Amino acid sequence: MRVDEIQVQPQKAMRGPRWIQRVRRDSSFWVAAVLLGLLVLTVVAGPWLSPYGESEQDLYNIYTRPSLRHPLGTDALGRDQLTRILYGGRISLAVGLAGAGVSLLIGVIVGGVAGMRGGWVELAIMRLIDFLYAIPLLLVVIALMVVLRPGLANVFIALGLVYWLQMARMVRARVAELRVREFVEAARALGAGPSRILTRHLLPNTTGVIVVTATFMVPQAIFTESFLSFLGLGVQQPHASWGMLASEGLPALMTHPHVIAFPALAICLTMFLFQTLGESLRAALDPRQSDFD
Amino acid sequence: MHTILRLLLGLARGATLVLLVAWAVATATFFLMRAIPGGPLSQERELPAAVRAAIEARYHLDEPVARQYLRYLGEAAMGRFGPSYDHPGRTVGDLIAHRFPVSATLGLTALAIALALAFPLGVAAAIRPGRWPDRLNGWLASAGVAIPSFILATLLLYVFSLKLRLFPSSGWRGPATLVLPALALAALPTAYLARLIRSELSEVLRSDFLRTARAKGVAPWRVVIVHALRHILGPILTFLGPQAAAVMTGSFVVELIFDIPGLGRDFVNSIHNRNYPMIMGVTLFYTVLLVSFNLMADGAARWLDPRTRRQ
Repeated sequence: MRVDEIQVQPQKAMRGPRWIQRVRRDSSFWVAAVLLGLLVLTVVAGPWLSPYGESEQDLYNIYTRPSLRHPLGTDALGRDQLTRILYGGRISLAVGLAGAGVSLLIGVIVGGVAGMRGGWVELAIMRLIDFLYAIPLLLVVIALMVVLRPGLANVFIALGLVYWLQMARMVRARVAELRVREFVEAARALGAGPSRILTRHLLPNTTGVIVVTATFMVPQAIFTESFLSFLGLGVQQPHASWGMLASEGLPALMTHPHVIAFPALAICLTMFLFQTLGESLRAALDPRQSDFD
Repeated sequence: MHTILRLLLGLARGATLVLLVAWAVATATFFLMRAIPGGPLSQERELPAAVRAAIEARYHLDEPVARQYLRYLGEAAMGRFGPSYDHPGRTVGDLIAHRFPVSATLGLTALAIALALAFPLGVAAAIRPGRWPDRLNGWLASAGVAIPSFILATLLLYVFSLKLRLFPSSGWRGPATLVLPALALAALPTAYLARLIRSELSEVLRSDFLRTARAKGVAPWRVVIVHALRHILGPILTFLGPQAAAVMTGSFVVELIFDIPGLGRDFVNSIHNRNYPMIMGVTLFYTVLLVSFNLMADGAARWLDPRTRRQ
């Protein structure tokens, strides 16, 4: 056999096409994705769908049961619950997506640099992450919220500052695993610098891990925000997130349970959909290990 | 002799790590806390200057922050965590000693419930993949993760306490008041554990040594109970370590909803009131607990698995 007859197989992009193909065939992925898309559309279109304003009060009709005028009833100040939930959804979803986004950005940069550089940089970063893991994170979020003053933008910051750890770990592990592969060596031999290798060769091959981790981060962020709002540390009046609507409904639990039921249902449904989405993606990415952890 | 020496060495290393982390967390919390606007004496009505000065001198709040920090470290090293501003005449250590057992009882009950539910569920799912126990497992796991503890707590409160009147709605008076909050706290660990057991066990069940055991005629239940389960203890312990610390301490909202006099409620109040010594004390306590539990879980996992013991 002559040398030029040897077929050189082009390096296939790791996992990329295969997992996308697999996820396309997964019906639960489509159900979750379509429902989430509808949810986002409804929440974005909320202000135009509802005839009521976000904090429009009707003090003659407080705590009314679901009716044609108010499909989900009214709250303690006679505000239309459906409208409040639509507006609250914008905040809860924004927090979920932005919180995941901030932690994604920090996590990918830190994890990518750690995995790429190796040596003492990697060791130092990983030790720092181990150390931060030892701190009760919820306490840090609560303390940060008090320092930064409650408010929407600060919820993004606090969540991002705390939840990047997991992303950094996943990205570092994958980048460190890829760094020693031939295609990276080939790129280096062709004169690519470390930053080019990281952004053009390593991170694109880490997309799967990043997408899955980020998808699971969204419900986590929504949960933490609703938790903070429940404690009164989240967004402030007159705006409301789902967590805050739920906490407002708590005092009326005995007499008007529908006030807490609907926002609670919205939180659970959204978290469930993101969870399902994340699990479909994970299963597609690694069919052998289709469970979390 | 050699083993004992190594054990002591390990203990010393663990203790050093705990102290180091505790010091770093204390430092971070101390300065973070001082950065919070407002202070323990900010009230609606301004205090007379003389009264204010007297109180500040009494609690050393008039000193420079660096001096206060060093004073705190010195006192904490001797095991004194200062007075709680919200509870006249009581020290932080005293309060933790009173409140922590409540939170710990609640958390450990929740964890026991989680283990009791997750083991049969996870094992059944792993033995018969795709059948109804497996599907129930998957469904419960998603639900457990999707329903936040404060929503589950409210739901349980509404159904079992307000409607069916089976359990008391609040307070801390004997086992009956423990049931609902423990169930609310148990949901998340149950969901995670059941899935963890399922995935780890089904992997072990596919391994060669268990095929050999089955081929030799070992009864199927014996294969699982005696041979397979010990192999998944490691990952389970690794999960249980931080989880135990988390459920024993991190139940702020559940304690709030069921009006349980635990540590979580005090902690949230102490942040709102800028009760500096209480914030510091509880944060340090949580941190030490978390790090110690992690170390213990790691140690136990290493002791159980000879493969990781050898270096």
